[in-house]
Amino acid sequence: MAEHYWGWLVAIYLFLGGMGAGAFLMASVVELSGMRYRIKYCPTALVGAGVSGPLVLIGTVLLILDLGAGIKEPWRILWMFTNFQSVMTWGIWILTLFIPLAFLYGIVEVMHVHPGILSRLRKRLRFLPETLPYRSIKRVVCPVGSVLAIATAIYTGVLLSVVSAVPLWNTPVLPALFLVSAVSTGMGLTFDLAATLAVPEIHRRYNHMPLIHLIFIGLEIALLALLLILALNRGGEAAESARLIVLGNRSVTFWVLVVGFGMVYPFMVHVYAFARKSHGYVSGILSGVGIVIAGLFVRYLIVAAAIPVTV
Amino acid sequence: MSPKLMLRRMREWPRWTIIPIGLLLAGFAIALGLLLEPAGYALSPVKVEPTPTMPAIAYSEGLSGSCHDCHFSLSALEASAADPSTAGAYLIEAESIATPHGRLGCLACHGGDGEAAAKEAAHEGLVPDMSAEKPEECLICHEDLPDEIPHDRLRVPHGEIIAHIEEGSPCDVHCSDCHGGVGHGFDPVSGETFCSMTVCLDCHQERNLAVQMADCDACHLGPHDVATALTCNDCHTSTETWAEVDLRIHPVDLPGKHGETACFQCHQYPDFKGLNNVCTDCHVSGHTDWGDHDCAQCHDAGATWDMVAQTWNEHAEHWDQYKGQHLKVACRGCHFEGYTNLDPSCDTCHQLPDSHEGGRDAIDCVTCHQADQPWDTSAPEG
Repeated sequence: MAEHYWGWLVAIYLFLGGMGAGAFLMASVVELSGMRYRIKYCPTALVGAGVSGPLVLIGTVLLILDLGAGIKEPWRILWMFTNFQSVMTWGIWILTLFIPLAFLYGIVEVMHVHPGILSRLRKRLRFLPETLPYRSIKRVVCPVGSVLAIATAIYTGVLLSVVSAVPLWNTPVLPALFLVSAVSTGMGLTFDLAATLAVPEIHRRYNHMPLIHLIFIGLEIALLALLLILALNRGGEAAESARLIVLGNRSVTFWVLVVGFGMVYPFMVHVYAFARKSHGYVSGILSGVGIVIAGLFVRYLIVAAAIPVTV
Repeated sequence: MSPKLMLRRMREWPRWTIIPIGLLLAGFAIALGLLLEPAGYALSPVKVEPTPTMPAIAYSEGLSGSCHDCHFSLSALEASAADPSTAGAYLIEAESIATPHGRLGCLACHGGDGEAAAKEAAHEGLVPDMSAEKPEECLICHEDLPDEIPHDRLRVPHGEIIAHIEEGSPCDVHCSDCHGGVGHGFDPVSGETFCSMTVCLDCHQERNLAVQMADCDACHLGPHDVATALTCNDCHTSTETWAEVDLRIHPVDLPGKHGETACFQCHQYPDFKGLNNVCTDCHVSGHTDWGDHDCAQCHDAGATWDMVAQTWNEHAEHWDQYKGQHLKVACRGCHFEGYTNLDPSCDTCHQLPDSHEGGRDAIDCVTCHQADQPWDTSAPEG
């Protein structure tokens, strides 16, 4: 069994960071494109805005817990804010800016959907206005937050790709894969899962969404294949890592959960949905679960199969 | 309840509930993943194992269990040691495994078998100092170390040592010579503990290095802009604190209190130059209507600001009565409203005594009196 640098905590952080960023992007797209306002209730916007902040925050807490100093001497993390030669410093700044903005978006979206919240708040806080310019606020928060969300998604890949001691990670394909996977898992959670659960007919309104999702699933498959093929061709530890995933101890997890359930099955569901302009409850929910699980396992397998170079 | 009915009921819940449901779904995916991964691992038909390498074994804190059992416990060490009185030397603080190197696991650097219970089996193939025996393995992570550490103003021979290791001819300087037990609580990078200067000096001496290698400049990078012209020990006289300096080399005289002042009260750190060597570089003039940057024209550096220097003759050129008792009067004694345009009439400061009543008030005092003589000796006849 390959012993690895980082374990589940880091894999879950990478996953939650990516999915949170992807969910924010999805919500921003439906908000800025006006799709949110085409139907009475848009669960994609509500879930995307509502979960992105908590997901990324939980992921960040896990990352801090994974750092030894994160538990023993958390104040040492503050030093990392000033070391601009480190990729981690970029990440800390991106997360520091993104998390509060994502929470703000979530709060504004919930208040927009439930105007009664503001009325209840006004009973205690009389200085609050009768209504807030929700759309105007979101027109600022969404574009700025989207830039930070893309940076967050890419950063989760850059964090690994700068580790030159692990050849499997040390490639620019990884940040690209993590970005595409982030968008895909964000769509899986906010659209396939949440929308199917809350407002199934949303699929008929957003009938081009399956095509967009198909493109992202296809890109994810292509980038994952590229990462593994490049690693196999490079030989050495990179090839050993790739073989662990494709043929070795992780192969069942890879082929069944990632490729089969997380990519091929959702791809087929979305081809069907694109052709029929809708998909069923079960296939929609299972497709969403598959995409989300694939997002988790793509990261876990890449983290777990790390074999450092030998001298 | 059928799933469809359950979904219909769910749609009657407040809309915000979709957010915790979304979070639960994410959590469910993670839980499912954690459950499925070991199953997938167990079901794997092909058991491809990676080539065992030091780092592959190393990144396994969990494989160091039996090391921890003994080396974290003094009683366990004493029980297994041939000479219990030496056991303390092998005791390791349990907290040290939380340090970056400690987290690699004991086997990463020391080899052996971290799962063997018997002492001999656990220590088989033990590497007491990896940096001495397999220095190339330190380079897996530390391949690019700086020759200068600007933050600590230190010069270190990292490049030279690494070049030797990479060429396959390691020199006799090892990482552990300076960095000690990095996995055991010593962390020179974070500055939690520091490498004593005597470590460097003793090592240089043992190796019979050139005498210059015992100088401060062998390791310390002078922060000042005079460091290229001067060595540290040209000015600094202490190996304990940089603040103790010998000022005899200072390019300009430092009379009076100047010689007692800390360097950086005048010089801006780290530069020593950049001063115009004029008084107003540091001092703020107490008067704006008189004088220029050179306070020493009037004031004596060894004396008080309240008085002008005894050696300043120019005052007498402005006022011929600047002599005698007037030399003892503080500047403000006369110049209470500025330093120029002072009326030289004696009655600016002096009052006419009673003895002069009868018409002498119109006569200037200096007609009869001089400042360097007592008043009574100059009284005119009649």
